[in-house]
Amino acid sequence: MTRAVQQQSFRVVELGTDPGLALCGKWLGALGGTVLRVDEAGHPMAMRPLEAAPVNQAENPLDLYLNAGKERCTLDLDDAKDRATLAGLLAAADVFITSLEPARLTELGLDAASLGNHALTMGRTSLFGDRGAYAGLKGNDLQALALSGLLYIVGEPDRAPLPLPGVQASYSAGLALLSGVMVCVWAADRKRAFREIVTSGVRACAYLDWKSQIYFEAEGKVLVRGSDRGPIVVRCADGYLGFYYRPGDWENVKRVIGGTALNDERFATQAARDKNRAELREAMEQELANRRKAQVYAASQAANIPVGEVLSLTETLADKQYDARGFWQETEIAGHGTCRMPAMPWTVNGARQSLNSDAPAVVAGAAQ
Amino acid sequence: MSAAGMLDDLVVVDLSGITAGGRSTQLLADFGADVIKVESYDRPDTFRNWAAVTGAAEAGDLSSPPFRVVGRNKRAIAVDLRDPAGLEVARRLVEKADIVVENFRRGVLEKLNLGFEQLRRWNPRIVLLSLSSQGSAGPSRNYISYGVTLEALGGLMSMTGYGDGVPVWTTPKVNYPDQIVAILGPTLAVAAVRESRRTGRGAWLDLSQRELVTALLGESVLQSELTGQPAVAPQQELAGDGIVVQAAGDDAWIAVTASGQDMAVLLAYLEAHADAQDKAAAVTTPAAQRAEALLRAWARKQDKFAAMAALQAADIACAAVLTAKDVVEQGAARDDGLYLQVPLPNGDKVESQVGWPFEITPNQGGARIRRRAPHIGEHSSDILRSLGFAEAEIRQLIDSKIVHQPAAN
Repeated sequence: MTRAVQQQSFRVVELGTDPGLALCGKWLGALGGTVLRVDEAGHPMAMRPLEAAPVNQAENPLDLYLNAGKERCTLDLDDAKDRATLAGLLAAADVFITSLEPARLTELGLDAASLGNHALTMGRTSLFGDRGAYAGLKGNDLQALALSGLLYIVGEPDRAPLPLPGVQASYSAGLALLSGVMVCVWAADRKRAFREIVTSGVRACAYLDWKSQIYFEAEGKVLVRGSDRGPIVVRCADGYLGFYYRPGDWENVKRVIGGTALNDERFATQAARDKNRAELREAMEQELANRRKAQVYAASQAANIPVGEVLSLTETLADKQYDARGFWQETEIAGHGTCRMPAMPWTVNGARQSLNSDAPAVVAGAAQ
Repeated sequence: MSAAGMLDDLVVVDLSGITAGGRSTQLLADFGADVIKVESYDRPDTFRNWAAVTGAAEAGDLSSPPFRVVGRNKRAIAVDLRDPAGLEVARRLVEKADIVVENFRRGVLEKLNLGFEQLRRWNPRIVLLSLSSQGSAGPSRNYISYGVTLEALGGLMSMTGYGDGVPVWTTPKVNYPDQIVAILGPTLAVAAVRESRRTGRGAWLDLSQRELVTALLGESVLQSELTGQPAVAPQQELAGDGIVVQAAGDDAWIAVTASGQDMAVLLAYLEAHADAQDKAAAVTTPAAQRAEALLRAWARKQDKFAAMAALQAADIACAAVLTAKDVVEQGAARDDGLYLQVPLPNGDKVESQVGWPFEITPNQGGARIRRRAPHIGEHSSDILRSLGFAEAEIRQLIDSKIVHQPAAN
């Protein structure tokens, strides 16, 4: 891949094991940052208890996905010499992002009070925040989703709230950190000063679930889980469809689905379809029982109905759109050969961006 | 608080609609960018009268609560871009802008003569941020979507479920892809303007919402590649990522995780605190199953906040599952900028809106509420004046209905 745009570089030092932090660092590297990841000796990025067959720590998918291509060094921060090395790195940096806990940062002389004399943008992410009732809570992504409100709203109304997969709370905080850092880098281009950004998984996910909050604020309504009107998830011969349709699409929906079941009076208006939602799903699934999701997806789109087929990640690896867009980045992994993972999800002037590989010279001696 | 926002030297022409675009440009506006919302008077942003969540939309162009959020701090002009005189207005807007944001169906921008090549002819340093469904190239580029259908296409739905193979989406109440793109989109735009200010050359950013969904599952893709096993919705296990169990009260829940050594700690706590009847009823082995059975029985009798406090005190990862009501009520006591007081239209009341996804010190980067969301075309005349239109020209544009300017209250 080629870098489509060579931005005015800024030097980033990344320290910590949080996945969102690493995502932030990775994408900063495509937005003009020259990123150095510092791994703290004895503190590898944790592996998640994934369902598939386990892989060893050297093949930690989170580490490989988020940190491949970064310049890295490992430092023992309990060692004075290595701490001095880190201090040197930070003295030359424009941005310092970390997920170390506040107490540890203070112990290492890396908190805002200690670094405040530097013209530095410092960003910290965590799952639960640095202050307030949740600071210091024990938990993982699930608990952060719970406290943000985002967990409550996902799932079926008669079943338990359902977490989003992976580490979405951590990643959301990583996106928030990325955004805050870029705003501060913009400001630093005009006036260099110390600036601090703090975010958390709870905060970022509360930001994402803003519609639930504004409807409660404005109308006193607590939105509940599940689809209760309009768009509907339906089964077909080989899987499922996210059948999004607008009221004005209904005649086209009947034409695409075919058969006669949808002509029933119970489905004549949007209000009636919402009232008879279970029967509507049954009728649609009856008509779609022998049709493949890709075919229904294509037919719906041809009729201007914004349906999406439910694809597994394995199916996305064979998807023609992703292939045409050059979305899969190939990487060589010892013992596994060429493996694919997502590239940056954007293009600049039609070209996919990649991680900046220019490392600060000061790390030459410490880099692995 | 400083009057200036960190982005107050940015000018944004906002052609976007509904959530993904509106929320993206709202973040820029909150931090001081001059965001000019461009709409058609005949076909305004449908978010102004949004019924997809509650099923009802009141009359009035500021009646929709979510629009009042995404529209804040913006100015608005209503102009018919299909008319040559309207296109001239667009040209002058783009000439003075740094960023144009759009989330039209692919091809619409070009039909309006506002494609990137045209924009670049008017302003070589312009940055076009396209928040596309699946990207502006490829065989599916013209397919239309709403946020949740991109969860389907991006793999998220297949990974979200109760373990029975039935996929679950976040529904239009959340529209997760729209929300995550609205954090990344403005970030990319700011980075690209840094470059355009340096080189004088603009750029076309094409942010595929579907790709972003998959990118936030990247480690699962790689896991699948490494193991040869398909990535599926994970079973929810106490010793894995955790489980959600019912607490006392209507639709009240707690989220608990007890991996590694924590399983023994949790079991010991529950053995000490569960009812004798529940202990007798629970299976005896293995420990994880007994702990889960005891947890479910114990939690059903606990207030969710009390349960969270008790298990956290025992060093177990636990959180109450907060409703929007809980989040807003707790937020009222916050002073970290997560909630803002925003004036309501036509009155002296305010409403509490979610602020920003991060805190910046000092002064929150100058982010603040400068104005409520605008009516359709509320600032049309002022914007035309700033673009150099004479008063007679403005009158003519309004009289010929190419531009709409609502009457002043």
